[in-house]
This record gives sequence, C-alpha cells and structure tokens, in this order.
Amino acid sequence: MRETLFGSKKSGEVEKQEERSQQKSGVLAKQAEQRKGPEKRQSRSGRTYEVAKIVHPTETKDYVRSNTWAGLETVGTEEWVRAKLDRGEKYNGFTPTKRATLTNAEWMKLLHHVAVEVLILHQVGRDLKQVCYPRVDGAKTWRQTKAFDITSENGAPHVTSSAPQAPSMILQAVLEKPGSEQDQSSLAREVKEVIAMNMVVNSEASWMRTTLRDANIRFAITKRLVQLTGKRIPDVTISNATTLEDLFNAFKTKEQPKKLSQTEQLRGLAARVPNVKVSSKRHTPIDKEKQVGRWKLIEQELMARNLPVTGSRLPQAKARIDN
Amino acid sequence: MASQRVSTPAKHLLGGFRHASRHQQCRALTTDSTPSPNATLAQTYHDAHLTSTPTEPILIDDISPIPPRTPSSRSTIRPPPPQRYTPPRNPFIKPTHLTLHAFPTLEPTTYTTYPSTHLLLPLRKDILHRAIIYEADSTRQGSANTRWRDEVHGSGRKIRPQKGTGSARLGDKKSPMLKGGGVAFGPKPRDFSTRLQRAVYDLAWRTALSYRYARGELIVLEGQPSIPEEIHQDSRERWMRDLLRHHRMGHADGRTLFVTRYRSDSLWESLRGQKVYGVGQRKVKDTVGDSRDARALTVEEVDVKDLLELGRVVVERGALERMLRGHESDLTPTQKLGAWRRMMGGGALAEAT
Repeated sequence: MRETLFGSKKSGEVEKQEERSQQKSGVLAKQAEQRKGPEKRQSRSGRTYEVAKIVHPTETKDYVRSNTWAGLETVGTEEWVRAKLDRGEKYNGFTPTKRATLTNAEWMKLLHHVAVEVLILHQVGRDLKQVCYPRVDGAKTWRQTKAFDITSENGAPHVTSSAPQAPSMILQAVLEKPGSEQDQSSLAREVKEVIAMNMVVNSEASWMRTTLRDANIRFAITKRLVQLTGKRIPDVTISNATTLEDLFNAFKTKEQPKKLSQTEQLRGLAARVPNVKVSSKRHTPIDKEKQVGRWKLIEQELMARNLPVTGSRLPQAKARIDN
Repeated sequence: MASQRVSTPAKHLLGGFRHASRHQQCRALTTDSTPSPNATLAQTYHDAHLTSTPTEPILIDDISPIPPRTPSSRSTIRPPPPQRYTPPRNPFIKPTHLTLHAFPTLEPTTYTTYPSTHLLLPLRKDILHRAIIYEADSTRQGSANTRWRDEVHGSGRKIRPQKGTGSARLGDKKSPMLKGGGVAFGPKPRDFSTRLQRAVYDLAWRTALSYRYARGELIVLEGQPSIPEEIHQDSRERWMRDLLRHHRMGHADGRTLFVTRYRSDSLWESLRGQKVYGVGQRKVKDTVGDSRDARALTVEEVDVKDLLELGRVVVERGALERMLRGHESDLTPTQKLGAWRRMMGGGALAEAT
C-alpha cells in the first residue's frame, strides 16, 4: 500500500536516473546544437541570414533580462533597413588595409630592396610597371636583392651583384603580365621578410646618394613602396627628389618635437632674428626678476618674514577692495 | 615693273597681277545677250551700238602671258614674311610632376607635368583672402528687408497735439520711436557683390591649387570617378564610406572634395547626406553629393573656398585642365598652359611607360 501511494526507493531511484539521463541528453542536444551553429535561411532578396534562437527564460539558467537597450539590436530604423538591403560588397584598394609602421632602419632596408628590383628591370629594359605585378609563386626576391650594390655609372644608377644568377632570378620572379590580382597577404609577407633581413644599414651609405634623374624610376620606386606599405608621399617631394636619400627622408617616420621650442623653425629663430628670445617654459615674473638679479633678495626677505615665496592662493596675497 | 604693265589691259592695273589669271565677268551694257566670258569692253561696245560695218576695236585686249610665279621672281616683287618670333624659354618656369591615379583603387598609374606658374605658386594668403571675400560677397542673397516708417501700415494722422499734453511731440504712430512703428534705417534688399580683378582672382585660384599640391592634398584621377557597375545600388553608400575610410579620406581625416568635369549620378548618390533645415522644429532633408565624409562638385560649381575648405581635393584630370586653362588671365601668352606645352615640345606630357 505504502509503495503504491508513495513509491518505493527503487522506483524513486529509477525516476532519478531517468531525470539525470534526460538532463544529460538535453545538455548533449544543446551541445550538438551549438556545434552545428544557428540555422541559416535565405531571404527573398537572396541574402542568407541566421535564424535567431528563441531563448526561454525558464529553461536557460544564465538568462539575464536587460534593463537598458545597450548592446541590443535596434530593429526598424532607417539605418537598420539600409543595412539589411546592403549586399555587402567589399572594397579592395591598391594600398594595404593596415598602414605599415616601420622604423627608419626598416625603411632603409625596404627602400634598398625596392630600388634594386626597379633598377634591375630598368637595366634590362623591361617595363618598370612590372615591379608592382604579383611575383611568381614561392619567389623570395629579397634573398637576392640583399646582396646587390647600387652605384652610379655616368650619372645613371646601376646595380651589381657578386652572385651571377641573382639578376636572372629576380627577373624570372617578376611577372611580365599581371595575370591574377595582387594578394595582400603576400605583400605583407614580403614587407615582413625584408625588414627582418640581416642587413647593415647606414644613413651615410654611398648607395643612398645615388642620383635618380629619371622620373620614371622615381615613380616606380614610389609606387611599389605605396603598394607595400600604404604610405603616400606628396607629388612635389617625388618631383624634387634627386637621390634615394630624398625618397628615404620623405618616407621615414619623422621625429615629432615634444616642445614648440624644439621645432626647426624656432631653433633657428635666435640666429635669424636676434631681438626675439625663445624659451621652452612660460616666462613668469620670477624669471624676469632672476634675469635682473633681484630674485635672491626677494626670496631672502620673504623667507625672513615667514611668507610664502611662490603662489598666490593666500588670502593676503592679492589686493582686494572691501565694500 | 613698267615693261610688264604696258602689255596689260587698263582694268587689270587696279587689281594687280593676281586677277590677270582669273576669268573676268564683264557686264553687258544695253544688250540682253549674255556676255561671253572672254568678251572685252571694246568688243561689247562694238556689238551693242554698231550694226553696219564693223570697226576696229578701240582697245586691243591682248593679254600677254603672265610670267609664272617663281620664288625668285616673287622675291623681287615682295620680301618674304619674317619668321615668327619665338621668345627664349623662361628659365624660372620649371616643370613639376603630378601623379595620376585610377579610380576606385587609387592606384598611381602614370604621371604628367605642369609648369610652376600653375602648381608651384608661393602661398599668398592675402590674395586667397581677397578671393574668398569676393566669392562670399557675391554669394550673399541680400534679401533682408524691413519696413520703414513710410511702409508700415497706418495712417499719417498726428496722434496727439503738438503742445499742451505734457508729453513729447509725436507725429504718426509709425515712428520708429514707438512700438509697432517702422524700423529706423533697417536693412533693405541690395546687392552685396564686390568686384575683383580677373587676374587677381585667377592667381588666387591657381594659388589655392598650388597650396594643395605642395601639401600633397591634391589627388588627380585619370578619368571620371564613377562607382563600378557590379556594386549594387543599395550598397553604394556604405561602399563609398569604406573606400574613404580605407584611404583615410573620410570624416575622421578631414573629409574630401571630389571635383569632376560633369556630374556623375553614381558618385553623387553614393554621397547622400542628410542636411538639417528648419528653425525650431528640427527637420532632415536628403542631399546628394554632400555626405558626412565627402562632397562632390562639378568644375562649374566649385570655387576657391571649396578648394581650401575640406581636408583634400580629388580632382579629375579633365576638370583640373579646365580649371587651370580657365584661370590664367594674369599670365602672358607664352606662359599659358597650351603655349608652355608646345614650347616644351610635347616632352612635358612625358608619361611613365
């Protein structure tokens, strides 16, 4: 009788086991669902969208009802409608998405590498546009350009290498026709490998002083550097540049002076305009007294009278008109 | 020469030797017979008046053969025209390079050259200031209007007696001293435009372009900027924003001005902004060609202020040529763009192969 009304221990245990197994299967089902991901459907316009999961607060223990609308999707606004209609076409530009930030030594290595590639093409008589075309798969031209010397021959730039196969290897790696679209990841890899090269760079190096009178060479070097790093320089700089050093100075990261008095314009002011004085700090009345030589006396007297030497926050410090 | 003149008929003396070889049309006098092309004056008289025995013609129109026009013979008659004077090349005008880009990738494709008189002018803030003030003055609507005392609605009746009231004397109720009266010398619609010498304005235009060029804020496109066909209509605004953000030309970087030769619907509609208009109750108006990130104008619409206002100027090559050629009245004929290019012998347009 007791067992039929209240159930036996065994039946209770069996029921608990059933519950546990149900919970487990529920958990497993959820895990399987998560692994599968949300259900995807296609709208009338042809766009695929994910079906939002219906969350029951009673079933989900970690569900927290929000009191504000921060982070929630706003539905029905004009912007939301425009975003829904958007087909999502991606923009691909000539420059990489992320602009490369290089140190001056790294800029020098990259400039050397690009200059060698361009000058080899120029020497052979190939179109300089080809330096910006994709490279042959697996080609690592930076291994060859590293060993090249840039010199001037009869006023024209010239490249020479101790390894006889190096020029031909570079020429074979550079495609004559664009073929496929430029792969941004390969460009990024090239920059990374070039700046990681073990190459001694010196701003006083003779190759930096190589003259570049041909505007086509300057243009090709600049274009390739823009393609690799994303940094553009003004046209007037390219026009006025005569050596590789000028191009380097245009591309390198200029050190920003921390104070206005350290800028080039104000540094030369003292020499150019003798009646103007530039100081890095604000010229206070104390500085004026110090100039004249009166300050030490003022300081002594104030200290003797037990008065504050600097500051004007004392009530007695400023003259007041009491009504 | 006298010997040559003797053999020619009288009427050819007036026309000179040039007319000698052409056939002459002689007018018939009283006869209605059409004169033959080679009829002479004397023969016409003879035919018209005499019916009996023919007489000898008065004038013998024997045209001696005209000597052929040889250079040597011509030189004895008239000296050759002098060679056209070509002034020496100005050594102070140097060429400067300008990169041309493709749209929408902004890939530098080639370069061209322009003279320093057009793109390397020194910064003259005073001239730019004059030009901008001139433009602003001419843009003023000048429609502010107020009613003066003679325009306010009301009668001219004297509202209180001259003397005896103890208060100030008053005429009509439209006096500016009174509430509801007219405005004393208030504004009236008028023309605020000022004049500026064309040469100064043109110099200002080229100075503004030179300023942009010197700072690297002048980007020239090869052809007309238009959104590619494969980008769907609904995506174009967002795609354009992505383009500007990629190249750091958007709102965060000072905004960009696109200047084109002709209006391009795709570009204008991709720069759809929302202008606020209306005082009091805030209303929003849809505008094309002016968004939060960029503005687009045609060459006819742009002015000096627009060129200097935004962070950078992206201009189509054809538009730039039109701007430069249309604003060079202060230059001498040999300094103008066309003449400079001819003097450089086409080498000025050297482009990267």
